[in-house]
Amino acid sequence: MIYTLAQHECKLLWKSGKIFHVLAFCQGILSFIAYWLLEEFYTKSQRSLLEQDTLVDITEAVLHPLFAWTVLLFFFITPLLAVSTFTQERKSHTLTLYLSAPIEAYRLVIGKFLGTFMAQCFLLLPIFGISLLLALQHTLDSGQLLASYMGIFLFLGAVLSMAIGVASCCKEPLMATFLSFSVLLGFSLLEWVGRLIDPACDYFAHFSLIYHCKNFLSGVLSSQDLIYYILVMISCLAFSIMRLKHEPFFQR
Amino acid sequence: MQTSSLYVEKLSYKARSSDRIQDPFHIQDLSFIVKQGQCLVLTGANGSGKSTTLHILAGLIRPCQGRVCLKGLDIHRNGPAAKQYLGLLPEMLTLYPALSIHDYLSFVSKLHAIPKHLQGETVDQALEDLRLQSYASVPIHQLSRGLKQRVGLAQAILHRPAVLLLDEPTNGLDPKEVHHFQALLARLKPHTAMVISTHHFNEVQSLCDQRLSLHSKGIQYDLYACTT
Repeated sequence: MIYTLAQHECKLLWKSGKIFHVLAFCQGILSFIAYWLLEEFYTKSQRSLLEQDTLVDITEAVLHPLFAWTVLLFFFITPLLAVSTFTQERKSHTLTLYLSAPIEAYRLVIGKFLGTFMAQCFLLLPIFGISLLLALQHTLDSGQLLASYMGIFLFLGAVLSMAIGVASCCKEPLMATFLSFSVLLGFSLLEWVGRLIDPACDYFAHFSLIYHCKNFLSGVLSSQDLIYYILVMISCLAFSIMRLKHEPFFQR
Repeated sequence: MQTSSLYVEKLSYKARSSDRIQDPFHIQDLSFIVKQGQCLVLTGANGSGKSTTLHILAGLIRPCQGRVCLKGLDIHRNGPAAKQYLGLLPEMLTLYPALSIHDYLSFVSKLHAIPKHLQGETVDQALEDLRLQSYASVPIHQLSRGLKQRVGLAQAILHRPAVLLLDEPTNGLDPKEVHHFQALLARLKPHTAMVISTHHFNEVQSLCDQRLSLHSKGIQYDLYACTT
């Protein structure tokens, strides 16, 4: 059942054309950034060759910032796509179809999460293509590359589950998008707020979504970051399941 | 008696009052039984609580007191298990505009966990029942209101439910389709317990065994047997 629901969710995103538009947007932005980073890399490399300095590492110089931009891009795109999971369904009354069918709430939430996650994975195609092209000409740090992909997947999962949690509470798509973006921004700015209060204290940073991604992008696999993302996913999806079990929007 | 197709016992529900709704819908100690082969028709003016009552029967709204059992299973306690016996046509259709009728019904058949080897046959049967075969590959957003209503009906009867809840089923249907629909319900009636909410009692009078007439936001109601 989870597979059926995930497949349906993914299909709806493709059929509505949402994914095509977002993919085109991502491809445009990431290609431009990649071009800009590559130009800078070649200028730096030539300078270091002339000055007989240490050679610049392409993974660090190009792919690391490119992955960081991808994370930022997902941060803005995810609330837009997650809205279709529950808020849009509630507004168009299709949620009644699921709630009157013999499906457990957890299957519905996980199915929708996986479907949207699968659709969003297509958005990683541009950076995957760029990494592949660079790998043909240069030697890449495969460890950092793998850690970065893992970090992006985990970040995407956490952001998506948070946005689904918000979508499960809202009836208006615009409201849900705005609210989930605000929640995500709030969680990401925690690091900055903590540093403002006490520059030496990183207590708040541990709650920040972006803070935990930094290690992955630098090629460091930390169990602390891994557990953080998994906990965020589990708690947000559990919240959505509880909300759905007590669907309040039929009450009059 | 609890193992009857639809068993409703001492159902009470009071809607939340708000500034807009001064006199909210309120139902008290409603009990009835609809057995297989019987049809209960819900009538009443706009806002009398017909749709709310259907939503309670479908397990979408939790009542304040009482219980609703489908084939002996409490729909609010054993949701998924009880809902396998339920077919619901809500007033607001649950359609995906981007999908074709065939794709939509295939998805619904999967939601009802119909075995894979029977899915195609079930969808074809529903298309045939509602005379939708020639529109099977048409995207739902291109259909007229009447055709969409027929797709909604196909979705509700697809898995041959033991309890069929229909909210304004003849909305948007032309007289010829209403006649065809009556014939379809008459064919389905011996195998199912039906609850139909309607403003047009005469359209379903021939099927009716019991009539529940809601007055003044459900506070008063009459439940009586129909004689056709």
